[in-house]
Amino acid sequence: MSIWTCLKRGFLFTLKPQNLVMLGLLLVVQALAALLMISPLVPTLEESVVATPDQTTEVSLGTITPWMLVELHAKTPPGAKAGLGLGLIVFMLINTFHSAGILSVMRTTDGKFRFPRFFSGGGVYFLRFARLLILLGTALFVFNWLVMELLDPLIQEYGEDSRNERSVFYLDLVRQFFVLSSVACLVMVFEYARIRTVVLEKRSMILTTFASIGFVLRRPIRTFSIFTVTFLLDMAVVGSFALLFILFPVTNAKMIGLHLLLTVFLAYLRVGVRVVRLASEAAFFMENVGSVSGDGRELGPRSKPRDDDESYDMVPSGAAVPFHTEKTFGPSSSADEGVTARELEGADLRRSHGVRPAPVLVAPIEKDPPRKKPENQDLDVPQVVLPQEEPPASVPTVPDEPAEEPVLPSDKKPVEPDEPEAWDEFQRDVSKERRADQPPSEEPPPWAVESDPFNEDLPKK
Amino acid sequence: MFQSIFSDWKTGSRVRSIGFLFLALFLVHFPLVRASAQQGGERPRVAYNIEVRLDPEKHQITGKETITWVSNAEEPVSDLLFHLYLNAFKNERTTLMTESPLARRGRSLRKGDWGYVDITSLHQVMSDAGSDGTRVDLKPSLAFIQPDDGNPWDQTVGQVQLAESVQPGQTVTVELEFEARFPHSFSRTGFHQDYLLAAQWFPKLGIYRTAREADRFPAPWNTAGWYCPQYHTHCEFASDFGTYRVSITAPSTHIVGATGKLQSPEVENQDGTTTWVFQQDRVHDFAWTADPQFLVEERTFDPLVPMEEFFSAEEEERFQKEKAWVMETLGLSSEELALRPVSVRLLLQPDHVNQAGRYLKAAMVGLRYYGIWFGAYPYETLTVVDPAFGAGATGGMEYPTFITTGSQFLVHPRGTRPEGVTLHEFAHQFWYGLVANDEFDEAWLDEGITTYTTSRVLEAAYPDRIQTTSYGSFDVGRTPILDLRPDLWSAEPLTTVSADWDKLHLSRLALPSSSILDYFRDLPFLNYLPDVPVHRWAGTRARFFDLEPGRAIRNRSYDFHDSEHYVRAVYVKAPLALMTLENMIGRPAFLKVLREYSARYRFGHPTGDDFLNTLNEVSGQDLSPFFVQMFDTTARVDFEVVSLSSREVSEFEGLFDEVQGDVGTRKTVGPKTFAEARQREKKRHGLMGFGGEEDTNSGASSGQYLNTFVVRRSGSLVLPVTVTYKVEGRDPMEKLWDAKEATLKYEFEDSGRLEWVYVDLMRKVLLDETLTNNVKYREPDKCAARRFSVDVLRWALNMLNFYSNFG
Repeated sequence: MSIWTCLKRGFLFTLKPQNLVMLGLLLVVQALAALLMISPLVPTLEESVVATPDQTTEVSLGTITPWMLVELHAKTPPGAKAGLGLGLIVFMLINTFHSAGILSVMRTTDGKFRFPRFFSGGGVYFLRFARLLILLGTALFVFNWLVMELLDPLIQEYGEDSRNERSVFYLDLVRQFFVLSSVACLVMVFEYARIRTVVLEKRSMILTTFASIGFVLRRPIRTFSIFTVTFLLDMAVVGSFALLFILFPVTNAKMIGLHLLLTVFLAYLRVGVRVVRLASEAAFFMENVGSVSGDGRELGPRSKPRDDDESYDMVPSGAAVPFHTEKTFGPSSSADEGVTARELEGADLRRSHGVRPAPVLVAPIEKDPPRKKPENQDLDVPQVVLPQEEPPASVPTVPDEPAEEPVLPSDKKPVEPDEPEAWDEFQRDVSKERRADQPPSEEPPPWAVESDPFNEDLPKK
Repeated sequence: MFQSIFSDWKTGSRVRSIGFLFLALFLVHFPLVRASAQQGGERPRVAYNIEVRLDPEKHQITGKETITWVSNAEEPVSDLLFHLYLNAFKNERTTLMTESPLARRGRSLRKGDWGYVDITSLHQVMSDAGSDGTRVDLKPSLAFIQPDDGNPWDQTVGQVQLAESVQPGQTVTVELEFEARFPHSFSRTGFHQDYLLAAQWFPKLGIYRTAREADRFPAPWNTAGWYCPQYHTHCEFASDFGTYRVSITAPSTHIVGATGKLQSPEVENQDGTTTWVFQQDRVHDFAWTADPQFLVEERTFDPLVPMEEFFSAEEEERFQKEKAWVMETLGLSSEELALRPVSVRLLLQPDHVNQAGRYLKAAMVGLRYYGIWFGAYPYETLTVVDPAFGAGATGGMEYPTFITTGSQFLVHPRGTRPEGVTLHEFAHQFWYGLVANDEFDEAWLDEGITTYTTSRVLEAAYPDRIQTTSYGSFDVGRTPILDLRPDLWSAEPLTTVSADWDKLHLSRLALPSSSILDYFRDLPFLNYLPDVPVHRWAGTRARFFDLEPGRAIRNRSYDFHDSEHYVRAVYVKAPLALMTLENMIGRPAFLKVLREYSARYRFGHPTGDDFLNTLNEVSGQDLSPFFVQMFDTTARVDFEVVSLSSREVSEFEGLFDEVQGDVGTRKTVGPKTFAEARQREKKRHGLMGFGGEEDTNSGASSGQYLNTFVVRRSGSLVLPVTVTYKVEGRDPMEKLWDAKEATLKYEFEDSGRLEWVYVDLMRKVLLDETLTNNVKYREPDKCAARRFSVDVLRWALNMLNFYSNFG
């Protein structure tokens, strides 16, 4: 799939009417935090020199001024200042919750915003994302230390020895590009880690982070391209509004309202761009890794594995773990990289949320099933495999609705999911048996392709 | 030429006793001591004739030096004191190094790249008739002394006992040979690869002060004798005026520039070297540079020829307007303001080739504006050196007729680099070079006045320059809001906003300063202001409040405990104080003061008291109390409008007596409002309207207000200030407040409400710490506040959006 398709899916996801509500939620949180941050300052404005009726003052200044910070500093009690820092931390935590909620919404079949999905998903993944946040902070700290202590002294030494200002200038540019790119890479890796956590129901954040690094490293151009395009989009939004603010400065009271509206709209757009990036990355991830929807069907079409894709080798032969519920969040099974039997423990999650999983249908899946390019697909590698009209006889069919009498791959006794330990053991056994016993399938399983939450235009079964 | 020299010397008090042989000796050894007959100032006391050879591989020089000194002492002098300043770089225990270990002017001295100067031979040439030509070895008597701090490891001052004392008015000649090695670019001097800036490189005599001269200085230099401080971190230099003739032999690949005028085309030697000879009269130091990569640009500043290459018609008109104002202010004719031709030689780095025009234009601007303000630049040459990349520690320095500047690879077309530093260093030609105050003792006299002067010339000649910021190695024509200094908007009173800048950094907002925050701070566009003009206060007032006060301005440079406080006092507070003084007496009067100060002490060594005396004399006011507070103390001041109120008199309640009959007879007529009482009172005295109707404008029933405001002075710096207040429907009114008391409460009745009160509306007191509290409005403009609230909200939203990427 090309990055443009991913971006298109990201846009389509973001622009769904229900999801615009989600953006609004994000905006409200941001705006509330921002209002809280500036609230100690606003009252002082009316008593300070800014309150001059001389409009030339207003015209002469294009944006906020340092003295506002002076006022903030001088007239804000120390406790309130500490509150600002605390507020930023709280905002980051709320933002973490939101990210989890958004990704939970993304991974559902229809990809539409629902309050239960959003909040329950946020709750489920919050702690994991918080751990990722700590990991990211640590990584940034370490990176900063490396730059300050190792890279910069080297560059400084070169600069001190050199007489060639031009080369030092360009070296400095390279250094800045490197630093910015590295920070962007870190942010991107952790975004994929979040996506991975939700899509593949990961619990070990360290392993997830390393897996995400591997994911990015195997697809550096495409992952970085998606990030860069959305970053440039963000810059374009910022630049456009900056131009508006400069071209149309506040000269009267009405313009204040206009500026307020523009400010809110700017923030809304920036939140939107951020969600577009996340959704595009999620689409890209699912397209490359595959996923299973909450109702047991794979969300993204399995992409054709690359020969060098180690992650694919990790995919056990197995099937999805379908479950039926309206509360389609949470666990998934996957036929994809890094998925082991442990990941099937998502059932625990279902139980913890009162979701009763459906009996498992175990279908053999070929480790490297042949793919067939759909007729209407013009996408790049990895290619999406459309379902067959008629599944081959050798492959057990999986109905849309779970069968009442599941076909078991072995003589294992069915286990009720209400018995957690037995359920887990059962699934591990199932997984083992899949890997060990099932012959590879010649054709992709019919559930390998299902509706795509990011592009409902794609063919569906 | 010699005739004039001789006549000058003949008029000296001690010269008559010098015999014919002395005159012959003088003509042989002292041919360079030539006083300009048409100019005043001190007589040149010393002449140097130096031959030096550069070894660029070893960064070493070897030289021969002949020093001829005419004693100005009132008693026999038995010794000589030399500056041996390259020894400051000899090891880590010198006074310079202990004061600033291996870090000076932003650069570090690499261990191993030590510098030194070693006198290998030293002889006195006997001058009496009986021993003409005899050379007495003085080397055994050479000793290092440490008059400032007693640091035995410091060898920056050498003392030698003369074989024969020098009588008052007589001349002594010493010949010496020396070898010196330069440190890597550090503290104003040194090399960087094949580039060399040679400053403080030769054994140089100290200043001999008579008892009267020394009395003006603090201990230990307050007694008659040699004045020869050690090399310190914070201070620069002081020497006697003299004549220098220096012959520099360097590899032919090198371009050499130096103080003074190149005497003849350089001579190529057979050994692959070239000899350059420079000579200059009436200067007090000599520096030179050599670099094979220099690009040379030469122009002649000719005041009689239009310089379309540098000045547009608009700029020419601006200058002519300024010149006309100066003529009118100083009462001088055009001829009296005439400037002199100067040969400007620019030694430029190849990476800055596209900035040659800007460098040269800045030099021309300086020659023009400084010339009409403070008197024409008297020398024939000016050499502007663009230091090599990596040798920034040698940049931004002033030496007579020779300045080093600094720039970078890419500069903003409307920024002030390289013009700012070029104009600053060139201003030093007037305040240091010509008016040669003692930089050890009162550095503010040159740095403070120079900073003031630079601001003035930038304002006059470069009004369109804007603030820039370095963003990713590029100078960007916008300024991050958090880096803006508050006074950038203070150019026009009441139309601008200002504040003390020291609280602007994020670190001052209880947030840690970190690279991540810095990245956010520098996020472009939304956090930037475009086209913020360079204001003459910019940077100066800003930096003043960045630091707690240390010492007063008038302190010895090396008594400041760190560079920050030294810079703050000398470069920052001093020009602010000068600007405040200018605001107190007016710009024309202040220009007269500077002009007179320049004229009186050109080629002289004035002190701060000389400046104060000139200030009082020319301004016709006794400004000493204010001067002393600002320059001799660390007193601070902050003016503030504490409160203002406006209450309609009819609102007053209580029992008010009604005046009955004549004055003094009052009668309580029962409960009345104040308005009723006033109304009846006015009616009785015929103050009612023409038909007996109630006067609504001036009567007590309505429209009469009791206005009150309180202003306060915090801090012990007492300066007079104007309080401006505005009553609705009237023009603003002023009230002069001497501020001797800490508060002023002013109450008055008026038919209009008090709208606002402003302390120091015209921003005269630049030492006022916080300007945001100088104004208060009765009814704040909520519209403005809301507008800024939106801006702050946008800032906060963007910040949160930035951080949301991490979670």
